[in-house]
Amino acid sequence: MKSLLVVGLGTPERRDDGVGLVVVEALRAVAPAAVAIHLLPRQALELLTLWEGRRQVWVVDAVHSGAPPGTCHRLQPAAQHWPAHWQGGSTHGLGLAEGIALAESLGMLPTHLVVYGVEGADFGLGEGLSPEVAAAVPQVVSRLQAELEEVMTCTNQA
Amino acid sequence: MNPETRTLRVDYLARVEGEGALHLEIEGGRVTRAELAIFEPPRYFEALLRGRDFHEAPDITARICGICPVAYMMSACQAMEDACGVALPPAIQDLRRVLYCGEWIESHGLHVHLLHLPDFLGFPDAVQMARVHPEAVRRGLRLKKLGNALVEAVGGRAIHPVNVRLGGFYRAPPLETLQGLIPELAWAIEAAEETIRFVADLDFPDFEVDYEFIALVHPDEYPMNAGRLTSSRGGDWPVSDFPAVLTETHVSHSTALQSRRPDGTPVLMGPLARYALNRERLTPRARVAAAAAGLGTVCRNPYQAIVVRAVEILLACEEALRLIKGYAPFEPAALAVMPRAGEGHGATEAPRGTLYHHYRIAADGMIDSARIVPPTAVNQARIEADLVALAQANLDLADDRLRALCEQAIRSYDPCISCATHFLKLDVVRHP
Repeated sequence: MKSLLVVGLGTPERRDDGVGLVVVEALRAVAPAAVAIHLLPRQALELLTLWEGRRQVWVVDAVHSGAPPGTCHRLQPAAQHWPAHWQGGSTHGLGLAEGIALAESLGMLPTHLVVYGVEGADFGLGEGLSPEVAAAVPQVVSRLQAELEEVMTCTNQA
Repeated sequence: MNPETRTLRVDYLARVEGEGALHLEIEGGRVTRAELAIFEPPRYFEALLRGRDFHEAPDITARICGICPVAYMMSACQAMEDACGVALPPAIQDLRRVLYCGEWIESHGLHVHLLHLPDFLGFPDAVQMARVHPEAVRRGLRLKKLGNALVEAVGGRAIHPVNVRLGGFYRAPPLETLQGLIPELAWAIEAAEETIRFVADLDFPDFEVDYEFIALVHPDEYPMNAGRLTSSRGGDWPVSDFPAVLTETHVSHSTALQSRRPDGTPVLMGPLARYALNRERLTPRARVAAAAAGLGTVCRNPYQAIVVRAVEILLACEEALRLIKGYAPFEPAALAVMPRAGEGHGATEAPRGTLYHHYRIAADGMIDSARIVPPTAVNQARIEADLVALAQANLDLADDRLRALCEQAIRSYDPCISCATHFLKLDVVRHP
């Protein structure tokens, strides 16, 4: 099992809600071979069983916090407070916030977990990203790629 | 404030699939009305299907629900195959049953362990519950993962399978893919028994209803993909009689149509109904576990549906294991289904109850009309009637207790409101 894992979350039928999937799909082509890449459309809960046994995990999902569309937030849930307004608004399926809280309760949270939250603009029904969010995708991919390469360099030197 | 005039309100009801609202009217100490309201605009799937090719029905209707796409695909396939006069060989039917087992394990595994259990153990949600009962939550997650793995192994993808087609499958999965799941299924059988023992000991509110149950009944197996529509009050019909057995009416507070028997009786579908009508066709092991859990021959307490769901997880794991052990890849993976002008009916047992599809197609395969009746739309009238009775029997409770009791009751039916509808808001108005 590869110890580094990148997961994209989202609902592609809800426009910008699918940005995490788009970013991680794009990353697949440029990510180092030692990194496992997974897409979990509409199934954040699967994270818990997917990241079991992995050393370092990155999750990319859409967020809605009021920042300009395309803004990329980087959070380390284990190390910092989860913004209250990021709690999922869903009454069914469990979202990323609930998944992380559940993993914490169960002692299943990876020691190194980084969340990239990409600010969406349009969460209405339909496919495809809105232009300002689509425009931000290459930057998010490069930032994540750079972070992965840096982590791997550090790991190799250690 | 007049103590008899109270207003209760829950902004939305969590841990159900979808969103809806409940409005309770209480006048002079009597519950006069319980309306399960559904705010989602009417689903346009039936209209969307008109003019599409008949081959597209399984994939289009699978999109109605992310929890039970297999049920939609299976009912759609069956209806189209009925329209075209195609009967499937056992190998294809068996593989479809494996796929269906995966969906039951996934859906029930999530509902039992993460959505419903917190109610009985006194926690607001699974996150809080997990701190005290981590083993139950872990078991639920692992069972759900296995259900997903089964759907993915047969269907090609966990959420909206891509390997299903009219007449069978695009390809029969490789032997080693399915055999690779055997060790996990063996674990799951033991795990399901553990869950049955765990939920059997829960404290169930004292509430029973003399239900008219409706479910499929098949002479040789616990029903998933096949059977005759059967009522616990007598009568069994071919699936094509569905529209006569259950008639649909529109009610103003809901965008889902409500179904009742022609005499107006609301009916219950789902685990309790399947169990009442098919208990003797459970696997021996599941039957023993059900008896040990105190289920009896019929279970009329909706809260105990959690026990029946756990029994059905065990059944589905055993069935999947049995079928996979006897599996050999086959060709062709599908029979050719040639269109002909006519109509077809399909009904299968979704985790929440019987899901009915009806299509009329033209000679070239174009869909002329489509009708889909999801189980939650049928159960809706029954849930409302039960809530009237439940609230009436518990009017002396404080608002928060009454609200919790109603919410817990609604979750007992595991309503898939996203199939029938959306967003549950609970609102209790008490008039003097």
